[in-house]
Amino acid sequence: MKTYLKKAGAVLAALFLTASCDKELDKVKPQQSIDSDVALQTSSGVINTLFGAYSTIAYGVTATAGTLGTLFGTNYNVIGELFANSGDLNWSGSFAPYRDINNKNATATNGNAANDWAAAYNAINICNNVEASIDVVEPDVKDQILGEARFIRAITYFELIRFYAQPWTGGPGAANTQLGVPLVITPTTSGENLDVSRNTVSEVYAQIITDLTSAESLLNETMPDGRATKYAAAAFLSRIYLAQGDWQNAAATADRVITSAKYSLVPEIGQAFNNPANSVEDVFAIQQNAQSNAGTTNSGIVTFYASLPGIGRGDIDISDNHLLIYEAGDARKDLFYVGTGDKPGSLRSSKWVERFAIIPIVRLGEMYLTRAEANFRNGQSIGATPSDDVNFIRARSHLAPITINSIDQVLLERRRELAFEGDSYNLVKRTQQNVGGRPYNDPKLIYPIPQFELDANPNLVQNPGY
Amino acid sequence: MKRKITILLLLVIFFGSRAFGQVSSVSGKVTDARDGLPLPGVSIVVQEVPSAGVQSDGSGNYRINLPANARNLVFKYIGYQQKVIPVNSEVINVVMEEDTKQLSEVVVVGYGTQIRENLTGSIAKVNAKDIQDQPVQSFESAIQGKAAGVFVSSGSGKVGQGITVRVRGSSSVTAGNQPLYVIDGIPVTSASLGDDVNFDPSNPMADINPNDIESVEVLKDASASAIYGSRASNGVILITTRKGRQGKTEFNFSYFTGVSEPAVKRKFLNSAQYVELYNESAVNAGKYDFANDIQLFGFPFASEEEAIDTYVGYLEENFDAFSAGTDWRNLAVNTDWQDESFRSSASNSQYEISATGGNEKTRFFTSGSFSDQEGIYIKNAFTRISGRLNLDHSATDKLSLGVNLYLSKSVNDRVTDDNAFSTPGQMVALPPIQPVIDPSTGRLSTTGPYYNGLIEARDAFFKTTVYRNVSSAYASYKFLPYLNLRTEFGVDILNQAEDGYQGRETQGNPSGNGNYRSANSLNYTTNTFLNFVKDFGLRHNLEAIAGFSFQKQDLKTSQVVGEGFPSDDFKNLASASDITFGSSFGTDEALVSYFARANYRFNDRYLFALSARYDGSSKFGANNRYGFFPAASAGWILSKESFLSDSEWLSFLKVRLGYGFTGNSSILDHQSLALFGASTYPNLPGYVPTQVANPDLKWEKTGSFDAGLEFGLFNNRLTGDLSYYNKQTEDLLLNVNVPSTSGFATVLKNVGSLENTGLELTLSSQNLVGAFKWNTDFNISRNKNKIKDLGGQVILGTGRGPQRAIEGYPIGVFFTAKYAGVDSQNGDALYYLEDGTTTNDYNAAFRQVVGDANPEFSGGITNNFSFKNFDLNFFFQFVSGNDIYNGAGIYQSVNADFWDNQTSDQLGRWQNPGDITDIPQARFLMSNGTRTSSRWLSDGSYIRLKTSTIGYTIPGSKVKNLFSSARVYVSGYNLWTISDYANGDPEVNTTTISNIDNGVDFYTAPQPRTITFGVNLKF
Repeated sequence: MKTYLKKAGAVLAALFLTASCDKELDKVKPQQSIDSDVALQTSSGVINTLFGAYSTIAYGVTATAGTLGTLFGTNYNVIGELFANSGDLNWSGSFAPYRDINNKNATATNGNAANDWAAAYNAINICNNVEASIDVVEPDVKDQILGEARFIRAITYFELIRFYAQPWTGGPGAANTQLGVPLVITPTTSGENLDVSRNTVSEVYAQIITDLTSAESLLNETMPDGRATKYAAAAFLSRIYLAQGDWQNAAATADRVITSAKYSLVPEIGQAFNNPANSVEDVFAIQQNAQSNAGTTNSGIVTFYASLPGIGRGDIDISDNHLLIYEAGDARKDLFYVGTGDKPGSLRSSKWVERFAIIPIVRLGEMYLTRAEANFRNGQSIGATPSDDVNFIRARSHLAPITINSIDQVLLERRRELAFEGDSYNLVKRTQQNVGGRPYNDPKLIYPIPQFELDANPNLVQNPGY
Repeated sequence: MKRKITILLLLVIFFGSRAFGQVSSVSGKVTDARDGLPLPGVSIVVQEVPSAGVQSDGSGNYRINLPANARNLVFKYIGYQQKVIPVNSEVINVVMEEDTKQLSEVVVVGYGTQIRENLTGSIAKVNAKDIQDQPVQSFESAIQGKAAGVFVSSGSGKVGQGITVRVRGSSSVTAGNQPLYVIDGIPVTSASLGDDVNFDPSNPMADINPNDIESVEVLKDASASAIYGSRASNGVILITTRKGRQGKTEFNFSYFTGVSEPAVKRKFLNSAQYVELYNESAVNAGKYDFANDIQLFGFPFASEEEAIDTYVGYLEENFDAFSAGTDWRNLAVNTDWQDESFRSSASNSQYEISATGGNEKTRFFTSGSFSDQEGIYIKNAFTRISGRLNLDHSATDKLSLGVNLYLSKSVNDRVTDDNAFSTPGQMVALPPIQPVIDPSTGRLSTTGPYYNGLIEARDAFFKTTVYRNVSSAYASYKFLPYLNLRTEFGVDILNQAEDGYQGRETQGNPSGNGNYRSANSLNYTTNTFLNFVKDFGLRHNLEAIAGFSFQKQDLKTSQVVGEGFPSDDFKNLASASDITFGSSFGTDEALVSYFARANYRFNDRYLFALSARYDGSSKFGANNRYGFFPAASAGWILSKESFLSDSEWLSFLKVRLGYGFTGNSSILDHQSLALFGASTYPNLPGYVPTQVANPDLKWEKTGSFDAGLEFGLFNNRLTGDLSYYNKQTEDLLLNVNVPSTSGFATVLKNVGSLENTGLELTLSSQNLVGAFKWNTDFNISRNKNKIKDLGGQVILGTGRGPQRAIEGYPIGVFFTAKYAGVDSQNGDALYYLEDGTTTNDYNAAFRQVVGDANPEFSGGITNNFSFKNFDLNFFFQFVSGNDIYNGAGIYQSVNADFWDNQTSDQLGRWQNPGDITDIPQARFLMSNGTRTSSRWLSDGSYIRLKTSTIGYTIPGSKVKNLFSSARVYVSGYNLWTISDYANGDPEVNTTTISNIDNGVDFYTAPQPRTITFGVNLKF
């Protein structure tokens, strides 16, 4: 009997050991993540969350980042240039989602349309979280953080509205009731009630202007490289007003950036690109380094543009015709080279050859050309005359001054200055130019609403033509 | 008086029973019919008194004392036919014959073993002889087509990569569908721990030496697998390694060597065809651009001639570049890039030596093995060196203990996955006019439209080295003859290092790129359980187990990438001037389990079983951390009933029924929590929200019903098993798509259901017995998968085919525009509209289900012949009713729309009005028929002579002084294939292991055709 008891005791002891294993289940915690409540409970947590938004607008959502570029890290530029391409370049790469954009025959399942949409709203949700939790941020940085959140939300909405909706027409104040994108300005906390509808273009523009105006007043004048400032907000406002044909405000906002005296033109145009940190000319730029960048192997702005030994895949060939827009002696004409890496022999842009360099999004040069254009169109001279502004830019590229007596002169100068920086798309839309025989508002000159989004949300309406 | 009568009665009983046997003890020798060698360890019991039993000793000798009523002796040995011999002599020598009827074979089940005859669940068993000495990296390849209901697909001919295994279909849409692997009672790591960015999943099962395996049991239904609870919905694969055998130490040496080549090659254009087709394509493009004012070059053309000149000029300009200055107009170069991607001859060899022996107290099996296998692709290779010691010791009558120790090192020289420009498979995209060596530089050419994979092969390596230790120790104590306590502890340590370097001439790496990633996994398990076996009277038998288990897995990975190497002679990261990426990552999971099973047998013919497991997992939400998985089953051996026992032709008949629940928990850790992850923006490290909370998250639950009919005819010369199953899976762990305007793309929820129903037939027949032996094993299974509910959503695949999971259809159907061929008047590609008419406007085409990657039937048939010393077998494996989508078709079979070299079938393009063809007019860059559609979908059915072996056993007399037996053989693998899939190998899956994305070819490597020569020696 005694031995049986002993044996039974041993069995019970063993069972008890297992019971204590239950506690082992609770010990298992995530090692790379923190709970969302924890993340947004402290000032530093909210600030860190804001920094996550910078990462998302540059490189996309980590989970969905694949073989395609995203938002400001790549597509802001590349997709814009491909949509607006009237023969300045040729897409010779094999990636169909880009080739189809270039050929204006994309479908609703286009991977870039899907990627940019998801990344944009991911960033917007982060900004919404920051805005909703702003009260836990330390008072001394609260304004700056809120301003940055609204800044990122606004410029991301501008990316959405320019690529997924027909452009603003009819000048400021016109009722632009065409479908824009859904406005989501509160954070997502659960998986329920998420079926939003598309707002109108004018509603989205109004939100962008509200956010940027607020940001301009909240933000500091200077910040470390990469972070939004008062003048970055003003610079983007000038783009919004320009797109709306609000010449008065476009000139005024551009003028605020110029007269802030925080920025100056780099002496030679070539110095504006491929820098490891912001140049004196950069009003806002995407930061990159060797570890964090828009892509080095399959995708990324440099991968698409460059063809140097070991760098780039040479997917974007610059056509020889493009060089015809430059006058003799123009330093900007020298920003091209004949590729020596992949697909050698074709002309390439020198603006994008360093994989880990920062990516300028707004340069001071643009502000002069915006002020010149808005002033000329409105017959005004806020800050300076159009001729002076244009000639200031020309002089940097070793060109003689000219007298501006036609808007085409300003626009031509803008094409030369901002070639292959993603500005062409805005220019084409704003000036209602044809693209390869298609009118500026051709259905195939904007993205489709992604098919997966239509599948997930019955309230969304597809763009015509898809 | 009363007492006298009692004594008298006792005497009568005593002497009366003696009258049958007339002996008080029996002795003799047991030998093996195969080789005449003594057979130790054979269990000998008195049939009438099962508790009276002995075992044969190391020389096969035995002596048993007989109780009074002994009439028959029963001789039992695993894998041999049971013999019942009447006690009519004091010396009984017995020759044991291998069991081919399988009814009495021992089958390994969860936490124990059972006799097949008594099973009430569905279990497939594959024996050692089907697994050993094959030129494969892991045992799953060897069981392909051998077990009904177990679908195995290698996906590609690269060596050492993951293998798809589906047991009775796919039971999940988002969670894993691979089975649970258990080696000698210890669940092991089976999912890839490798770098999955540019590489296929690696296969941790390839670390296990197949030659060490004694048997593989696949637990298919809930009755068999519910004892593994929350991880059993995809089936459980039990691997049992070889155990020591009592007796004289026997050595076994095996060696084989062989060569491989691609089983199937594709046909591509040569230079003449390429130049002709592309010129035509450019001319047509010019005409088309002019006629339709396409302005692809950005400006309108003044005349058709100008348009043609522009296109042809553009083409020739590029051809001049591609051809690196060689005279392509006169076809100076004609490179076969496909041949360049394969080794001229891939060799393989394997050495194996093992020994087994021991005495009554201690028995051992030990082995050492070296396997060296080259893949058919350049640079692709796999080697494995392994050692094993399995030791069992009987300390006392009651206490036994033992260890299974296994150590291995495997090295896999890998090539990038099919998606990478650098993989050898994508070299076929290069034009044939491009020379391998650029004459102007004397170096490998870089002038083509794509990266030249030969540079990668020359200047880059990616080596995965795995050190694996899968070991366990056990102690077992017999408290009572019928009650045993066993406790075991097992570890699976997997240390994996991935070391890579890409030289400065490789794409995207101007200063070289070094990469080192390590993954360290510790997976440990304790099992403790009581085992009860007792006969109650002559008719009742009860076997039961109850126990608990704890398992924990800790995984840590780290990776460093660097650039800026002084030269390609320096390949370690110590020499990198810039570290461009560094990361470490950790995750762990724990599982606490309680389990029990009872098997009750009445009168040896009525069988009942109950089993259950209660699992607690760290993976699940606070509200649903524990799950309960019960199963019940019953069987009836009709052939033991009096109304059938006299049948001349029916030797065995059993029906079985079972129903039970199992779970699936193969999802990533911590998915129930709302989490923020880290972002790494330069100078601004931050947080990004990664998932929203779901505290209700729980297991997928599968209720499965199994009914089977097992039979043996004509003295069991024909045996078979016909099974039907119905598996209903609910609470699918589904990544539910949410509008991404929320900032999230998916939320993991328990939503939806699916079902798998199927039939399986296994037949085993001894067609000829005697000097010329012929037997046949055949199996065929049909699985029908249907997704019943996904909460109304569509789950898209992420692979290279247009696949998705849709309600009402099997998982992974192909959903896209249906190709309608070519307009014979103008050469336009056509697609079907919803009403069945056709259009040339792709965007208007009706998107619909056009195919299904799931096979309707699969199976295999083996024929074994032997005559005197010769043996011969043919094993055919087949798959039927599945579709294959060539994802590379949009590049390589697309009527010369872009630079990629085309498959030669594209020569059949439309050229003139009236041409009837499925291949549209070649129209360079005009996207004529280039869109994803059913154009590249083919029937993927195939039958393949998977293996064939002819062997010769050298007669014992000739080798007697050297060996106890010697056999030489020649084997062939993938010798012959019939398939409708015209574009390559039908056993293909570019994503390797996937739920939705199966049956897609994307520059995928064909299977190897291999011939080996081998020898087996025993001494």
